[in-house]
This record gives sequence, structure tokens and C-alpha cells, in this order.
Amino acid sequence: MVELVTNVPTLEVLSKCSVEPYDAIYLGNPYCWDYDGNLISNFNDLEVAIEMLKEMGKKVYITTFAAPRNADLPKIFKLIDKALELNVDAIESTNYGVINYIKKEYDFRVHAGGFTNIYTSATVELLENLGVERIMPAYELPIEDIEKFKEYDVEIEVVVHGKIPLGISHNCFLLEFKDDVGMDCPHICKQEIWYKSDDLVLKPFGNATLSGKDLCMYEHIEKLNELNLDAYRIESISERISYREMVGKIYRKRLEGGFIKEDFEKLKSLAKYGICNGFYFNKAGQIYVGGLDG
Amino acid sequence: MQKLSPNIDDKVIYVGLKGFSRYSDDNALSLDEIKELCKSKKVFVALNRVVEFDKIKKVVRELDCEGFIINDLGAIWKIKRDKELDNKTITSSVGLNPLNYLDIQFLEEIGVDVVVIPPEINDEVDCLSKTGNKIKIEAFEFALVEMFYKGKCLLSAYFDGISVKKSGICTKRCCRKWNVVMDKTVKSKSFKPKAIKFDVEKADLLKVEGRQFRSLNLKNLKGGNRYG
Repeated sequence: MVELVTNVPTLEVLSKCSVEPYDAIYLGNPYCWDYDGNLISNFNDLEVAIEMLKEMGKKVYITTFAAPRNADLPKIFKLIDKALELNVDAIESTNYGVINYIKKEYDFRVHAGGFTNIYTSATVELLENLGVERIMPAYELPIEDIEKFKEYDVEIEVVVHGKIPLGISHNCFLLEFKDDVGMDCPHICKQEIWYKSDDLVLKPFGNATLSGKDLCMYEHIEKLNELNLDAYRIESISERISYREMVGKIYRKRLEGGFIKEDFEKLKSLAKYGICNGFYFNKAGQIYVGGLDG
Repeated sequence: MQKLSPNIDDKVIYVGLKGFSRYSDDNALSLDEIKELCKSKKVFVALNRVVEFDKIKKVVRELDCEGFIINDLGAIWKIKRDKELDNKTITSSVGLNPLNYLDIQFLEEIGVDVVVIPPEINDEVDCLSKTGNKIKIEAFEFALVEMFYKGKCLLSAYFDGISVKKSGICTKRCCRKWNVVMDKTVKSKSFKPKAIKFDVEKADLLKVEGRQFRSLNLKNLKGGNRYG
């Protein structure tokens, strides 16, 4: 059975929602060290969160900062040491320098995230050669390209639902608006802030800018199932607390049962600016291709 | 060859191959045109769109040039493991977005000879490479600093279905007027790239970003080792 995973940024979020539908959890917000309560910056909270998840029988993965400069590396090294000490199941990174470091120094299980620049079979072969256990292909790859990666001995994880990152910047845009919004770091990013230009929508979130629409593969899950992938991710890092529980339950039912129209309608209602398919069907990422529901 | 290149009469020039280089094919050359150039000059060829290795390999085999600029980790690694191809100088494109010394170290390990760093980390050049490293660092002396790090932007693909990485074309959605909306619009903003001239003393090579300009005054730039 494919693993259903999501991400949880803080202990507060973990404490207030059920992660029961999920097999594994990525802990921490990879887009900002200073995010209030971020588990990759608060080791006491991290320890509690890991303990809670282990008691629930969940696999625990630790994420790392998505765009580490030299100054970020000492913090990442401490996080890696802590993750090993707390016996987590894997560390996720989108930085090939960090990935290489973890494999060489610790030979620990690594998941290469969606912004690691994994576009080609040659790169998958390189990562396989490094010993990377799981990859997330570049977000903008269609299903047929992802399928080619199946010939390598690496697990493949893809996003099935949620807002995908569309860009990583070297600073947080939200801080530019702190006077306009009347809020400063770390409170400003807990607000729902959007960029809108006609019908185009984006969601700024720390050093990342996310899709305004929710990627949704609920109708098309059989197409992904045909690839026999290893993990499906529900991206919920920027969402309100109840989102990950509701969406997780719906996808768990979908994986174990079938298409339920009411569930699909619920997913649509949770997406303030609509749903899209991302890049799976070789179209612009914001387009939604209808499936079972017509 | 880049038509605006200040190095057009130099012995060393940098060209794009049609269908393989980023930005417009209008300024790129055909395989035969590059072969002709290679007879009289040291030529570096930009293959900085991301394509599968078999296509890259065919071009690398066919062109007797000095080196290539490549935007795919796997392709670089495979070229450097191939005894027929490993004599070429390989520059890793800025699209690979190296941000720290571990990245530079890794790129050297897979065979990169020259690494192009994003302009955002220009002031960290001297902390990116350890003593004894052979890899050369190429920095932008003049660059467009964009909304996102170069190589970490999917806006064109998301809104227009045109991948900068795969098609080499940017639809510049960042330049639109965006309303910053909370409950209501609080501000309008455009993320138009900023053209910035840098003073980068410690890089091994300097690069001038010009592919997106129609005209550019290069008189005040001392480097221009590369123009891409």
C-alpha cells in the first residue's frame, strides 16, 4: 500500500489535529527558520512531537531548510544530529550539498524533496548511486516522465493534494508588507495573505511562494496508482490546522475505497481559489482536467 | 553566438545551441555553425535547458569544442564518467542553484570544472570553496536579481505551461502588478527583476547577464569573461 504522508510545522499543530489518516509525517517548516514554533528550530518541541508520533505508530521524517546558505549550515548540522539522536526514520532535504553530506557522514536515510532539481533519469541514477532512498521528482514533471524513474532503485513520492511551492526566494516577501498589514515576524505568516493579479493567485509563505490553487489528484488517483509509487504527499504546511485532518481522511478513504462525490466536493470547498492538477498532465500547472466527476 | 557578446572577436566565445540553450533560439546557433566556429576559436556551448542525457551525449560527442554549460546534475556526472567525453570543461549552470560550500563541494565531486553561482550569494564567494579545491567559481558581475533564485522558479510553467528549465523560456509573470490581499488589498507590487552591477573581486570568472536585454551598455564592466 502506498504511504500517505503530510507535513506538520509545529507542536501546536500536531497537538490540535488528528494525523490518524497518515502513515508518516514530515516535521518542520522548510521555508523559514523563524516560523513561530517551527520544529526544526525548537528541539524541545521536536522531541515531544517525535514521541507523540512514535506512540501513534507513525513514521517520522524531519525536513530541513529549503534554501540553505553557508550561514544556515551549522543549524542544519545540529538538526541532523538531533534527528539521529531522536531516531527518526528519515531526513528530507532539497539541497544536494546537504543530501551528499548526510549520506557521506552518516549514511542515514535521505529523502530528496521536490526542489532538488530532479528532472532526468540521469539525475535519478546519480542519486541512486549516492544511496538516496527516496526522491520527489521536480514538481513540473508530467506522469510519463515520473514513470521513467521507476527503473531505478529509489522510492518515489509525489504530491497528490495541496499547494505546491512555485519558487524559493532568498528572503521573506511578507516582511516587505509588515507595515501595511500591521504585523511583524513571526505573526505575519500566520495570516492568510495572497498575491492576486486578475485571475492569477499565489500564496507567499516564508521564503517560498506557493500555488494559489490546491493541486488535487483525487479524481485521477488511479492514474498515479498505475505507476505503483511509494508515497503520496498531502501538502498542508501553510494550511489551517483542520485542513490536514479532513484532506487526509478523504484520501485515506479514496485509497482504500473509491471515488466519493461528496468527498470531492469537500476538497473543492476547502480550496479557496480552486483546484488544479499541477503538472501531471503536461499542461500549465494551474489548469484542472476533469476526471471521474465529468 | 550571443549577438550582443563583447567577446565576439575574441579567441574564446560562448554560444547557445538551438533547441538546447535557455532563452530565445533566435540568438542560438545550429550544430553546423558551431562546428565551423570551433575551427578558429575556443568555443563553450550552453546546453542549459534540461533534457535527457542521451540527447546531451549526442551533442557533446559531436562537437569538438572547449566545454559545455549544463543544467542537469545527472548529465554532468555521466559526461565526467565517460572516458570519451571527460576531457571537456563542464560549467554547471546557475540553474542548479548552488547556495553553500557543500553544494560547491558536491559539484566538484561529480566533475564540475566551473560553477556559476547565483548573484544573491556574491558576497560569500570567498567562503564557498575550500583551499585546494580545483573547481572555479564564476560570479555575475552584472545580473538580473529575480523574484526567486535562478533555477527555483516555476511561475511560467504554472501559469502558462512553459517550463523555463525544459523550454528555456520565461513568460515573466513576476513582472505583473500583483495585489497583496489579506481581507482586502493592502498594497500593489511587481516583482520585476532588478538589474544590479556587483563588485565581485574574489571570483575566478565574471559573468555578465545579457540574454534578457536588447541593448546594454557594457563599457563600465571590467569583466565580461562571459556573456550569457
